[in-house]
Order: sequence, then C-alpha cells, then structure tokens
Amino acid sequence: MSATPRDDRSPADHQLWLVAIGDSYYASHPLPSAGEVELGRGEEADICIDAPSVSRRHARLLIAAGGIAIEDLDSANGTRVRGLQVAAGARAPIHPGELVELGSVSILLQRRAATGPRPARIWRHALFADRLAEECELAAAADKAFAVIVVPAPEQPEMVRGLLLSALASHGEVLLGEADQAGAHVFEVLILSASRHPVDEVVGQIQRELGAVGIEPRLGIALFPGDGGDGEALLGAARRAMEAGDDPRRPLVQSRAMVQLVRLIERVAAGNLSVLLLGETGVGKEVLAERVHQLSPRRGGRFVRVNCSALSQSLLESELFGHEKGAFTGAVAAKPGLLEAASGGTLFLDEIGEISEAIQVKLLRVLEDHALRRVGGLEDRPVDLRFVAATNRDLEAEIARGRFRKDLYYRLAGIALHVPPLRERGEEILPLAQRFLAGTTARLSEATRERLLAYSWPGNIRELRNVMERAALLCGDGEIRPEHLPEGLAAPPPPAAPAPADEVPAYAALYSDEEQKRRIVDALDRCRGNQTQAAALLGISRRTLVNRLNRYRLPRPRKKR
Amino acid sequence: MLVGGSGLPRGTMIQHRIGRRFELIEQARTGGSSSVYRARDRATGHTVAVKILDADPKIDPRRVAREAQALAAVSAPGVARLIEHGATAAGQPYFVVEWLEGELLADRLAAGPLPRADAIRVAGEIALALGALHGLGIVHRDVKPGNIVLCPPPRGATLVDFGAAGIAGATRITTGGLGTPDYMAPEQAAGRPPDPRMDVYALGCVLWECLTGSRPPAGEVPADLAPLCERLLAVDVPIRPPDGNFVARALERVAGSDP
Repeated sequence: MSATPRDDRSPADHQLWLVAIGDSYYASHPLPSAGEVELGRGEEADICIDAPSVSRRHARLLIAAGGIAIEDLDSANGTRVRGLQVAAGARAPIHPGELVELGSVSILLQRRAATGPRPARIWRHALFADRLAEECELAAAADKAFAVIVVPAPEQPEMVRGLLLSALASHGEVLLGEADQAGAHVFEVLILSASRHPVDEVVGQIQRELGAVGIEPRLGIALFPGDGGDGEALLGAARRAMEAGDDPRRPLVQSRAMVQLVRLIERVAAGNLSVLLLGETGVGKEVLAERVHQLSPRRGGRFVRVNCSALSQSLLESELFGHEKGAFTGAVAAKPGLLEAASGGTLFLDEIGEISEAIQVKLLRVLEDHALRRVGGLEDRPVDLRFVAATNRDLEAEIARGRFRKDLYYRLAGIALHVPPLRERGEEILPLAQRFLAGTTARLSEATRERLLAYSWPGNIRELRNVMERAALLCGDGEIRPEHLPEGLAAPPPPAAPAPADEVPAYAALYSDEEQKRRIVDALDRCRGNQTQAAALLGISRRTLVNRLNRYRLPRPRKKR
Repeated sequence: MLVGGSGLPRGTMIQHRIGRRFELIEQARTGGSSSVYRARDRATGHTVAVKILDADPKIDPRRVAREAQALAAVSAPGVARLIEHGATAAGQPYFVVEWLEGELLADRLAAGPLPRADAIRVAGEIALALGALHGLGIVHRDVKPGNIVLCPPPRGATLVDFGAAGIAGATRITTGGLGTPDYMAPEQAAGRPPDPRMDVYALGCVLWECLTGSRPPAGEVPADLAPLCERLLAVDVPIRPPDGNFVARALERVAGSDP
C-alpha cells in the first residue's frame, strides 16, 4: 500500500516476546529486557505453559544486554535448541527467531514493535465494518488502494485468534475483525491504505504463522477499488475468492495511475460501453479486460478472448462469425462463431490492430446492428455483445495511414483507456517481483532490487515475470544477485546515458514507429538474435514479431531480406 | 480566551496595549503559562481576545509559530479566527483571536451532563472543526472541555487554544508537557508523532463526558452511541475513525436515527 516516508521504529522501540506453540496451545508473553524468567507448567513459574509435556519447572531464560541463554532445569522431556538437547543444568545461547523446544511445545523469541498503532485486539464485525466503510471513502478521495483479507477458522478459532494477533504484531495500520458466517468463524483483516506493508507481505506473514502450527487456511483477498467499491462488496469478493480457492495473484494496484485506471474501469464496467485498452505489450491489458467483464452486469455470461494476431485472417473470420454447412471446403457442419458463443457476455478482441479490412467491415456491422451473418449464411442472427478490444498499436496513426477504419475505431473506443507501462509505475516493480517469487525460497539482493528499479521494462509485467522465474531457477543459494538477471539487466545502467524514464515522451508518441523499432532491436540484441526469445521478452507472438520486422524493414537475423 | 461574565477586572493589568492596535480591557483567564485578556481592536472597534504567553526561554519559538500557522490556515466556524500574532516588548509571544461570547464547555459540564441532542451537536461541531484542521495536516493535540467555547447559534461550539498543535506525522519538537492527561490518547502519552486519531480519541472523551457528566470509563452512554464511543476511545488506533470529518458524519447518522 502507500508508503509513508518515515520509519521511526528504533531498536529501543522493540520489545522481546515469547511465543509458545503446542499441539492445541498457543500463548504469547512479553519478556523483560533483562533478568531471569522461569518457564514451566506449574503456577510458580514466571511464565506458565500449560501443556502436559512441559515439566512443572522446565527451563529458565537468562536475558541480558549481551545476549539470551536458556538453561534446562532437569526437565522430564528435555529442552532442545536448534534440534540439540540441552543437558540438565547446562545453558545454551539462543537468538530471537530460533526455535526452542520444551517437550513437545515450541517456543520462539520475537522482537516486536513496542509502541505505535498495531492491532491490539480483534473487533466484532459491526465495528470492523464501520471502519471499513470509512476506509473506502478515505481511499476513494485520495486515490489510494487497500486490501481486505478473510481468514476462515472453522476449527480452533481461539488458536487462530492468537496466531493472527501475533502474526500482525509488528504491522501498523492493520485492523482485525471477526464474524460468524453461517455458523463458521471467519476472521477479517483490513490493511489500511496508510500501511507501509505490501499486501503480499501481510498474507505471507499470516500463512507462515498459521502454517507453523499446521493450519493452512484458504485466505481470500480483495483489493479496493478493483474488487469492490464498498465494504460489503469487498468482503463478499474476498469470501468468494476464499471459497473458489483463488490464487491471490490478481492485478496488483499500488500506483496512483493504476488506482485511477481501475476506478475508471469499475465505473465503465457497469454500463455497456465498448472499451478500448491501449498500452504496451505485457502491461496487463487482458487482466483488465476480464475485470470489465467481472464487474459488469454480464458477469454471468461468457468472457471470450480472441487473439486477432494468432490466426490467419480467413480462419479468424470463420472463427469469429461461424459458418454454415458447405460454406467452404471442409465445412461439413454448420458452426456458430465466437461472437455467437459470447452472446450475452463479453467479447475481448486482443491485438485488434492486426485485423484485415474485410473483418473490420464485418465487425462494424455487428457493432452497429447487433446482428451477424455466418460465413456462407443468408440470414442475420442477433447477438448481444459487449466489446472490449486491446492493442499496442497507435490506432489513430493506423487510421491516418488508411489501415484501420475510423468508424470502427469510434465504435470500439466508446471509452479508450491507456494502461501505463511498468516503468511509469515504479512502486509496483518490487511488489510484483516478490509476487512472482512467491512459493520459492528466492530473495532479492539489494543490488538486484536497484537493477530492477533502474531498468526500463520494455516487455512490462510479462517481461518481469519471465526474468523472475528464470532468476529463481538460476540462483542456487536462494539469493537473486545481478548475475542471475538477463544481460541487459545485470549491468548497472551507465550513468552517462540518459535514464530510460527521461526518454519516455508524451503518451501518444510512445507508440511511434521509432519507439517500436527501438524496443524490437533492443530485445533482439538481448536475445542474441533469437526471435522466439525476443518475442517472449516483448510479450508478443513470434509471428507478430516477424510481421513487425517486415513492417519496419528491420533485417531479420539469420534470414537477411 | 473568554470571560466568565462578571465584566469586572479579575487580574492585574500588566500593560494597557499590545502594539498600537489592541487595548487591553480586563484579564479573562490565566492558564498554565499564559494569560488571556479581553481587548478592543482599535482598527475595527471589535472586542478581541489576546493571549499572552509567559516569556519562557524553554518555549520553542517554532511551536509558537506553528500555533499561529495552524490558526491562520483554518477558516471554519468551529475554529477561533486569528487576527494577529507577534511578541510584546518584553519578548512574550502573543496571539490575538476573535472574542468568543459564550460559556466554556468545562464550566457547563460542572453543572452535569448535557441533554443527548446537545451532546451530539457539540461533539459534531467540534468534529467538523477538527476535520478542517486535519484536512490541513494539523493535529490539535489538546482537545478538552476547557478548550471548547459554547457560542450562541449559529456559531456553535468552537475550538480554541492551538498551543499544542502539531503537524501530522512530523517529528516531535518539544517533549512532554503537551496535552491534558485525562483526554490524551495512549499513543500520544507514549510520545508518538502527531496523528489526527489522537484528536479523535480526545473528542471521544469529550463526547463521553457530555453524555454522562463523568470521564470515561465512568458512567454509561446511550446504547446507540456506545459502538461509536467504543471506537473513538479504543487503544487500538486503526479502529478509530480516521479524522474529525468521519466522526462528524458518524454522529450525524446517530442523530438522524431514533435513539
């Protein structure tokens, strides 16, 4: 979420806590900054751990400025540090974060922020909902994003309660609530827009903390404004995501430009206006097209995606409009097209700039008359469609060149939305990179972070994902260093060269031929002329790449024209 | 910044004039480290309040400037309007604000709780005043019945004394001694940087006291106001409404529904 510029937490603000986790036991206790603390099952212990495998007087913590040690008090089931048994009466040094076992109970020492706004308790749903409604208003006015997470706890709600409080103890600006949903207990987490912790980090923290005791709940996440504009909608979306077992890897909206875009989409989606998404390749146009469908009254209908550059134009025509029996050789049976299949729902035409003049004319008819004629057919068939189209071409320039029909453009662009390239939403680069690494043990080194932030990302989010997935495979020890990045990224940018951001001209000019050419040449350079790799890097098909090489009269590697 | 109503001089006159413009008439009140006088603005003929701070080398001039900035930046009916500020010949900082005719909420509460509708109205008016401050990034940090004047309509409850005001999120310049313990949010007492939700907590204390006549947690508030009071007075900062404007709207909703 939005970062506040300062972090005033100093070590002095941190307090040491002891967290004890048993089979069906969980407790956390604050510890003094110095002194001795006796742990045991008995009432005379300083910290009572009420579990059968813990002795009445089990162990003693010795806390001093120089370090912390644990001493076993001749316990029946023993004390283990880092898996090694501590001899009775002996002392072993321990560090915060290390696992210590007392019988079958695990204890952990944790440093937590001692002051400041942090979840102190779990609120009943009514109060949580009031605050959630306020946050929607606040974020809408400031163009900010925030997240709601639901954590189901059908069993052991008491344990989950303690774990959640502990998981979020060092997170400011997080609110916890709970509700009973049809008899099942659900915890609710609101990460306020003022929080400086990325949503994925909070989710990871909750999953780790619950996972440590073997609870693996299906978390449901909803983001404002993308998944809903009010509290009820957000909680509903989070609950549906939880029930559907959705991977929470949905569009990450953190930059101001994207928050505004998503809110616009939300408003536009409700109507039936055609939407044209403009933006570089790999910026996430398809994901946004699907959001238009999901947020529209047509969400019950189908969302049909057609990539207009993936098929030959004659095949595309028959795929889109369908054909009657005997319309052409091989048409042994009548077949409805994708437009008919999508009727009642949304048709997403990706790479709309690639369609032929003939199909442009036929599409225009569908847009104007809400009816189509199959190839070889005689009668008009009514269709009820919402059109969403996307392109990385400058359609207005294509119109000027006579390659794209102006009347079709205006029909498709009921509203034209520009999706900003990744380099213009720098605050999303690292959270996205971390998201693509989720599920791996890989971490980003400081130098790698700098490289990722300095790079211009011509292939946008798709390129970032490819780079991260490759790096995760290459790094042996879990740390991604610059040498695990592709060549163009591995070297620090030459300080004398103008920064990529400075080269970015006004938006319309982004789609100039020069820019397209430069990006293609860059990509081919970085892939040593391998067209398949370069196409993947640019997030386009190899065929599109070849088309563009021809269009820009660029020499084709290994096959000189 | 106001007078009890006797109209007779209650303090010793230390000087008769502030600058060339303001003629002191009588001492209205003394606070911890300041005195408030009723005065006449020779330029307009209006009655004004002059607050003179004791010359104290420990007083941070930046804090004084901040108070002036806070007052000058805000134009809301619930916030006393600043006319002038400066320093006396003796080096005492002073502020001239409009004279507010009315009763101090603290004095009113000495006579017992307010009727429910009045309590909601007073808290709502102060919430809007705070909302105006919060919108500018200013945190009052000393909201209490002693800093609220009940002016006759249409003016309504008005917030005075910005001596403790801070800029939201800014590092503390002074340490301790700011705010009034009874109405101070726990995190403010712990020395956290200014946050509008500190004022929200203090406003919760004021609302509670208006409703019950005693300070929380003593007494009992009406059932329909209990959830809001619970949020305003929460130790858990994130559950509190984000700023004064949100409290004002929440109070409107309660006032609009039948108790």
